[in-house]
Amino acid sequence: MIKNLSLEKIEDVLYLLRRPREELKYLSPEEMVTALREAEQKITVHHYPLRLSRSPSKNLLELGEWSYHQIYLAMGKEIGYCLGHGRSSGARERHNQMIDAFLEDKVLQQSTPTAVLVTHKSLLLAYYFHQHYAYVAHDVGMNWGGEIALRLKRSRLPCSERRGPIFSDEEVWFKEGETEKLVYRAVREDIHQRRMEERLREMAEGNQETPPEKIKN
Amino acid sequence: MLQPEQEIIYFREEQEISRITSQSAICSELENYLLNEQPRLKPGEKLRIPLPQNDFQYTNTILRVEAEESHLVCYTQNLTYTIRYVNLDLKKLRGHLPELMVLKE
Repeated sequence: MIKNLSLEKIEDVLYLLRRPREELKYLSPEEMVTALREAEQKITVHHYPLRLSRSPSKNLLELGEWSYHQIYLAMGKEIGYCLGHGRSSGARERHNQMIDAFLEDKVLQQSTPTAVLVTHKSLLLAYYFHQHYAYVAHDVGMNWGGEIALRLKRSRLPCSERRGPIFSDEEVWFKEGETEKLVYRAVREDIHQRRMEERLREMAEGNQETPPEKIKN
Repeated sequence: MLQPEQEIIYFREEQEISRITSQSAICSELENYLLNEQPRLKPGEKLRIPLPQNDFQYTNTILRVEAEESHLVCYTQNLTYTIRYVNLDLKKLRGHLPELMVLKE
């Protein structure tokens, strides 16, 4: 089954992300870079969960540690993975260490595709594939050194990022050069909220058309 | 890596915050750190506290390290971390390092 997988297809990426974590081998950033260089297939996944969960996840798709996770998968004799996110200093260091390794290796940049996924629990809400390496633009330089941000800017590597305040409409964007693609926009609006907004709008419009003095008369 | 009944336990101000046992699934890099680097921790460095699923958290810079028979006590500016090595020979892991090391100003 594993041999027939193609990491350029969303179904196969999801298949790997849904495997129990015990079936995959965790690799440190140094080990991961070696594994990626030797892998038959590889990918980096920008995983944006809309629901955070502190309980340990059974698989990588259910991860909810932080508002983003950047996962690296290498398929060889076994499936190795490494991930970074923003919740712990160790995870921020790993995130930056992997970006730094890719900055130094143009061959790896060209040969590693990127998938941006937006999920709720284990449900996939939206996805976008990029043919080469891209990084998650959060916590860059944290627990690593700020100069990496300058090198990334100079490299013009594509990236994805989450925008918008938490608990409000949220967006995930993919940036490549001057081009920006909206991957996902969460719209949260119920009838009560809509009516309230309509009423506020009417009041505001009414106030503009009829000044308060006129109403008194 | 750890044999049954061997454990490494982490305390922050006497409260247990993490525990590595023979059942803990850890990667080779963390294994190397726990047995070769952490016992030789020096002032000026940061302690790595292992978290579940191969994650870890750095402490602030360690200012003072005291080694006892089976304990390593590390002081940051505000907190004290104690690492208890259960059924592990801390002296052997530390080699010839002195029992007390303090960060020089």
